[in-house]
Amino acid sequence: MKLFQLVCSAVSRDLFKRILVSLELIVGLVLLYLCTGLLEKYRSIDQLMEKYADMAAVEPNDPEQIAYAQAHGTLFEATVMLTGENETGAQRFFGEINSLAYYQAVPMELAEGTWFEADVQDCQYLAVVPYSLRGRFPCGQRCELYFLETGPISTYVCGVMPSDLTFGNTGAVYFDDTNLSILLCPTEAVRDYTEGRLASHRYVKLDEIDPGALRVLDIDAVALVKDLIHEGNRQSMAAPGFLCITLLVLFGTALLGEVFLSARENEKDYAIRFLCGASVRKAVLIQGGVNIAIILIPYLLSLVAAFALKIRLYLHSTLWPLLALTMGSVVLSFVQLTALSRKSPAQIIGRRFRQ
Amino acid sequence: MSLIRLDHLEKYYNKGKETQVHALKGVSLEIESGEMVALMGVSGSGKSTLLHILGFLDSFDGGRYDFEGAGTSSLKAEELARLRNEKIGFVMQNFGLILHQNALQNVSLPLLLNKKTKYARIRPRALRLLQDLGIGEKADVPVDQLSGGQQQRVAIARAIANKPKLLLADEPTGALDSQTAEEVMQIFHRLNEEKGMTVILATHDPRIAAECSRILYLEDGRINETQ
Repeated sequence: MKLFQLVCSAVSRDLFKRILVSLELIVGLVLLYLCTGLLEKYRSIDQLMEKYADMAAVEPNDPEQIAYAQAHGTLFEATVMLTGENETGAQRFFGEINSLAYYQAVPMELAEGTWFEADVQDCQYLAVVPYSLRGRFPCGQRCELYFLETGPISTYVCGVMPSDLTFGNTGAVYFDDTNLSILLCPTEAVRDYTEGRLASHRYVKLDEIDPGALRVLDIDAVALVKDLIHEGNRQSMAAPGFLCITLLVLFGTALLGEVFLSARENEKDYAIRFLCGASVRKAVLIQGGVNIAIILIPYLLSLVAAFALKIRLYLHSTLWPLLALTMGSVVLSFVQLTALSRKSPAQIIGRRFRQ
Repeated sequence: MSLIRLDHLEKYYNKGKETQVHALKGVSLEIESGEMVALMGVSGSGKSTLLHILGFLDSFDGGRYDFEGAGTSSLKAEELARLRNEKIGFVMQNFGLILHQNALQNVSLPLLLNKKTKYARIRPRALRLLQDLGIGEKADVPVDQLSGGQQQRVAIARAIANKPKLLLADEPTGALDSQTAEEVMQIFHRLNEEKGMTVILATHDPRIAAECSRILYLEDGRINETQ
């Protein structure tokens, strides 16, 4: 109880302020992480474009639109026809790609080319669920849906609709050619689709999509019209890139400053507690409690924030680096404490408390 | 029985190395309970080293140190910490306060570390000490917002929180103006005369030393005494 009170006494008044400082620094690192994630995302699209550049042939909807887009450096909805290098005609794939925004909406696995390998043989349907149901029917999971017309059907949830779109007919089991309201795709229909029998313009702009769905569709590659988006990508990368470097310098400097400052303060507080009758072990223990409070609370808050942002921004970068940073900081703080416990309190007192 | 008895006390820094310093060279002295002793000497003469050893902050390499008639060389770290907490108070030149805490929290620190003090009695005791020293209204003020004199009063309140037998002060007036220094010295006199505390203070200032009943001169690690 007394030890707890000692730690509380050591941090109570100052805790909030010090946690805020730590939080500020760590939020900076989280921002940095997010910017890096965005950069990585753009870079992945670039890599994908390079990989499949020779496979793309463009059949634009409207030449005037392309000309406008090229002139203004913006992206537009275009129909891309993908063909293999071997143009025997045996395989022709159709993909509809709307804009860069589409890519920004899909998970990173798509951009990174990590295809989902789910076994959907025993699933009757692939499902795209409304945004409001995304928690109940998470993307990438099997589930059973019940419809008055058809009864229970086994489905594989391959996508989530954007939040601002609704289904016209929630019981529909079909591909809708005219708008963005795909709800369920019968697996057979998917096969028909890949064989070109249903080939017509189908704009699938989803809030979230499982790459496995593309696998099922037998679309092995997606490609963009490189010339059209190249400039756009460069422009998109410039801002986060600059932000990244600036944040790195700012927060790196601040973090180092804080570490050295807190090390100096820790040393002084440690000596004072020793002076007042704490043994080395107890003084280190109290300082350890303070350090843990100051490190763990901001890091946990930051991790929660990063996780929320990751979900919101569809970043598929892993959170392990942040967790590793947390653990690293805890370990460093203990290293600092170990170093502190090896110092002679008398020497610290002699050095710090005399003019 | 003497409160403190030193017998040929030796202290080395960096012992066995090229940079070895022989800080205390066979220091012997006795200090009775209730004395007020000034420790004088030039910088590097060993004043602070002696104070640190007397206050169990540092160890010694040879000789004997008896506190309240009992030897201290065989005491373990935990026992020395308890002695430091219960029997000794420290006042430092730069006050030695935790700056981001308020006056009350600083004074409470030795009370929190004292196993014999009940938690419920810590705050009233700390508050009374601050009131006794004339800074009761500053109890909730962070110490970095207090003047030098007020900070030194907080440091003294903290030093006497556990009613120690021995008060060690290392240049307690070194960072204060002459008027505030005089006020601080009056507090030391009051503690010595009214509470019977033994006070040992290291100082460069002959006027401060002159106020003490006994003056010890440390010169090159050895003691010369003048009454």
